[in-house]
Amino acid sequence: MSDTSEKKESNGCTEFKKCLEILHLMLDNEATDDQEQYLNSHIEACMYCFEQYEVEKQIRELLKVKLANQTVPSGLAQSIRTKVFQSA
Amino acid sequence: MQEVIKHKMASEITKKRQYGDLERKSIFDNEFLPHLDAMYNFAYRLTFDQDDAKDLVQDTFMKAYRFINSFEKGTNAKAWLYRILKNSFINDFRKKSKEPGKVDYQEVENFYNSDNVDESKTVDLRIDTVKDMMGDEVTNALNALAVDFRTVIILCDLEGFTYEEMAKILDIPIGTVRSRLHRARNLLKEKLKSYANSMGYK
Repeated sequence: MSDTSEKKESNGCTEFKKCLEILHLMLDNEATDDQEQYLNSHIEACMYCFEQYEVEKQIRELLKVKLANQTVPSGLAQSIRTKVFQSA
Repeated sequence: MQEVIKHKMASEITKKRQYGDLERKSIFDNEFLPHLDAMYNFAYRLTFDQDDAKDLVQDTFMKAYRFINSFEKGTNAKAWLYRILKNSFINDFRKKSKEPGKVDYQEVENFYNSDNVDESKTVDLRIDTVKDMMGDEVTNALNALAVDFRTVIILCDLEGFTYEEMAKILDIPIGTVRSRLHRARNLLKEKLKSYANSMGYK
């Protein structure tokens, strides 16, 4: 199936290295329009990359949603302000 | 920290700023302090301790105020503050810390010792597995990462910094930001995968 000189992947995607790179750029909002276009049309045809994309997206979402924000201790802002201005 | 500040100042030596007293306070109140919430959370995710996070944040703001003349009004205060916080953590804080984390160290070692990280490597994790995760697993997996790896994920995924901003905060080239992120994400997935296996998912 895959006959590129690159290491063969069992996943059937011959351009996996490129895809993976773009996939991360895309999810990190760092991809160019061309790159986005490439990957968007690629994952319509490549199941494996589509799943990778979904997995990566899901992990990022979980991180965002589940990492609960700590409440800043009350009075911290005021105490920092006081200390900082006193020290100056 | 000293080095960072010196470096910063050197690069901006052409126009040496000298803010007046009122202006300093106004910059502090309007441009620095609004980031307290985010800074505190970042500090907590580095230290896992509320008191330590408090100290670290306080330290950061003290330094920021002391070196306020090297900050250009109206620029990216958040990235600047994060940079100070990160350096304070590395230079002052981590030294004091009692648990250096042997496993972590090994991970980082391996990373820096392998000159070419295989960017095509990925951890095979199924979407159904990830969808079943409650979130605690993700939090635990993230917290189990070495601090350098944890940091890039926090900065990128939670704080939404760009690669360029991250490069400035961490004082590393953009290419290193990318490879470190890549490695961090793979490590995270490895941990998720072993959780999944231990919980009997496929």
